[in-house]
Amino acid sequence: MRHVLGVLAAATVALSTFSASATQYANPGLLCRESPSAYIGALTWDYISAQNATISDVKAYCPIVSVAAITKVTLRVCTNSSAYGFLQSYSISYDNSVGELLFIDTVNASGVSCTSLDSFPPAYTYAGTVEAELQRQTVNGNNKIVTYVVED
Amino acid sequence: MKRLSVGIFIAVLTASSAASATTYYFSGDQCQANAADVYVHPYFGSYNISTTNARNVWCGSSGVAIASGGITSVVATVYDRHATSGQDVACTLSLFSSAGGTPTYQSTATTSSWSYSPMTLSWTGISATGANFATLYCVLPAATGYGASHIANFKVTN
Repeated sequence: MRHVLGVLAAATVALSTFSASATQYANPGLLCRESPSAYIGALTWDYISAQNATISDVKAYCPIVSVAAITKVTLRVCTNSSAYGFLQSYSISYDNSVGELLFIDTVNASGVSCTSLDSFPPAYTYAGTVEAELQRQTVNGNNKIVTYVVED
Repeated sequence: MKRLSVGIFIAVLTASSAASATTYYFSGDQCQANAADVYVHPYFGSYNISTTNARNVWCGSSGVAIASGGITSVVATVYDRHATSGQDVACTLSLFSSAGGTPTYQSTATTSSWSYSPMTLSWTGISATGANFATLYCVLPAATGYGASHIANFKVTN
């Protein structure tokens, strides 16, 4: 009997450890759009990313999908902002389960390269939106949002 | 008693480590379009309603949990309403790791003829390291008297 109890205890620990591990959801930047419903024509998409190929600044909105409370969002972005000295701005708004705004985190990127930006929402965060302020295109290329990984 | 405890342990291990496939479904109406004359129907997907030009749409999986085995199959349901040979619905599937970059898998599937009925474009038996999410890039031929070509939905299994 002692063997059985020992094995059951070990199994319980193993199962609880297994279920407590975080799950990640990787999303392509091409899910981002200029508006929830209308075609505007400033953003373009490729096989993975959403990018601003115009000579005006554009805002892109990316829906965040998760199953449980969100603990982390990581943006993978590419910027060429050093050409004009711009700072690329990315804001992530977080909602609770009834859609009330909990928190807005703003992360920035600059230079001519791709980089990852982390954002950590408060507890009880269940939904959100990435708002990417994509500066105008430059001779170095287009500013873009490549992926965003949600962890819960 | 020892045999019983070993049996319980094996059963628990099997239950906790068995890799079960999960399929995620997406409506074609969440695809992005490169022109205003792609019509997004609230139930049935993205239609090319231009009677003169083919149009492109980009679709992506969202909320697919990263699984150790990666994405193993993708199936898209499309409608090809252009009767001219060579004017077909063509979709390129790309799979990526969570960091993006170069696709870990890329392949194009094309309808072979027009039909009033739905057709499936399938990519199955995929084995690609780090295939964490999927995108579809589809070319929809111009609308004809048979209707407007469109992508209705797609599903991703990992």
